[in-house]
Amino acid sequence: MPNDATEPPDSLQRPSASADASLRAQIERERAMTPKQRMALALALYRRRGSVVVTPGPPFNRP
Amino acid sequence: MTAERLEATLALAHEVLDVLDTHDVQAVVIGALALAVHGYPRATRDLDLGVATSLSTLENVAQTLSQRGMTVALRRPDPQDPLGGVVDVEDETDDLVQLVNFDNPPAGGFPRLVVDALATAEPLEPGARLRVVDPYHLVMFKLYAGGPKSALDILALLARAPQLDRARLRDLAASYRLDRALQRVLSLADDGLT
Repeated sequence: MPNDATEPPDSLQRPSASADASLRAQIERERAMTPKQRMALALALYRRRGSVVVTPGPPFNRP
Repeated sequence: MTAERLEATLALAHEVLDVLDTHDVQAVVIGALALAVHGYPRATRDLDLGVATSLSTLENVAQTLSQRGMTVALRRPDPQDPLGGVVDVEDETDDLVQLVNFDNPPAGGFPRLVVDALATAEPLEPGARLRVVDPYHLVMFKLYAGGPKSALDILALLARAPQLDRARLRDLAASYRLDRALQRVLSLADDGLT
């Protein structure tokens, strides 16, 4: 069936609870790192641009 | 691999520090890697070192770095430039250290910010030669740089470092006449951007 909706669904217009939780978890992981580990991560993030980074976590749309 | 990349960048930074020492120039880590030290790791290619020196000294530093085999690019300022020139220093493995000069007479630049940041900077780790700007002055550097990316950097840092004293931040910003810039950024947080 064609999708003729003119606006994205509400679920896409606000951060989902899982996205919030994911960001909080990421911040907690970063907080647990040493300053040098965070520096290494920052340099690594630059070099990962354009590639797919796979991190462990629940797949999307899992009920 | 990630730790190796950092060590290579730090090794290059120490070579740059050696050259700066020979020219009596002090430097402080600013930019994205200082953000990372204080809690917010975001993608960056380079290590930024803030300095406040004359253009002629910066040119001599660039010359010495080049003579030591590094790939060096000097960008000279014009009289209205808010910076006093930038030197990109690369090694053969693509690591990059950027020297950012905040002294640009007669227009001004912002040499006082570097001088103050050097006074409160802490070693990256005990005994380290590399000194990192404190988080309050780091916010001032970001305010001086301006633009949406700097605003987002500040907001992300504040979100990850709630212990930073907002009143102290406001006082420091006022002492540099950056209080309105700080207020504009903080109002974005009030609007729910973070």
